[in-house]
Amino acid sequence: MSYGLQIYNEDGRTQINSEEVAPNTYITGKTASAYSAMGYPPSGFTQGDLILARIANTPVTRGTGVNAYVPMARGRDVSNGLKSFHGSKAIQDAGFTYEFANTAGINTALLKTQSGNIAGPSSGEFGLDVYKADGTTILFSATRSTSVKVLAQGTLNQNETFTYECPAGLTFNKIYVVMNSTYSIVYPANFVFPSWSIQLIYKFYPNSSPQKIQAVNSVTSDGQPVPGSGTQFSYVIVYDPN
Amino acid sequence: MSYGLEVYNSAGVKIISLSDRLTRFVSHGTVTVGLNSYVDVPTTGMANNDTWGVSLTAIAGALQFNNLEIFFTKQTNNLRITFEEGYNPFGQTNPSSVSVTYYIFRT
Repeated sequence: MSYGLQIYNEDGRTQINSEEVAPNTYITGKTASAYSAMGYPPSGFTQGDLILARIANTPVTRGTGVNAYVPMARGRDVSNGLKSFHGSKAIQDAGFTYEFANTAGINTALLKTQSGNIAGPSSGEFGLDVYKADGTTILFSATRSTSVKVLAQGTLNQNETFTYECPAGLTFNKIYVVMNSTYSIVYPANFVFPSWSIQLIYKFYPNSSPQKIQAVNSVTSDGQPVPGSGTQFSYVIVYDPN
Repeated sequence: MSYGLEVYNSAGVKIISLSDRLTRFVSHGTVTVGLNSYVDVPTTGMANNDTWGVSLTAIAGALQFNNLEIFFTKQTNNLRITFEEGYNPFGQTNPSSVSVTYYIFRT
């Protein structure tokens, strides 16, 4: 006999399914990281987490006016092995001063599986918990989890972009992007060799109307797109309603 | 008629609504993919539609003057991760393999 709980949203997408053993996720570890503390991955990361980030509440942009943007990605590893987000002080201090310096810092968070991470209910607690068939593993907790909503998700091949415009009902500073597939590195022209730029990034446009986020997959040489399909960039844009 | 699930937090803020698209974790791991080859990751129920999400971390593919091609294909019951030579204008030596971390989720 089948038993359990399945809930679908208005579009017919599964919100909860106790049969498929795919636990829901929750957002945790929300942190405002200063320019000098933009290490990658953020504190609290464990393998399997999706790394979330958004711009600072008062961001520093590249450019000015409505076209000003904040590039968000994982940055280059520097010579002493430090890994950090693009725009970090660590990258600047390593001598790559031609790259963007995100002196406002960024906000980060982690998207973790609820299974094994959400504690059991306290005595007398009300609400809804959904368990796996083993009766102990929580797949979803309505009261103790903090789910995020997916606003957009897809895959970009090289030289493709996707733009998400923030609707009026949402707060721009509650929109995070998944950083795991991102990367930004620029090699300037050197002697006879042309410049080379790899950009699997998000651009946040806080001054545009409506505010928007653009996902970009671009590899250029001397400013021109290079041939081929390159490496895919999977973008995910989520909203934190909590 | 409306149906589905609405959840409010203790402050009365609606944190899950009837229209929300939520994420569910499926699996993650790291594989080594040889040049001009692929690795299939068994994934029960996977299909090529937008309820399945995949994120690849493949920093090793980001080389100067060597545009390595690392991509995935959502197939029936598996995720295929492929590594191929790409645009390589100065004839650099290709790595014989790359390490790729994958994250599979549903929405």
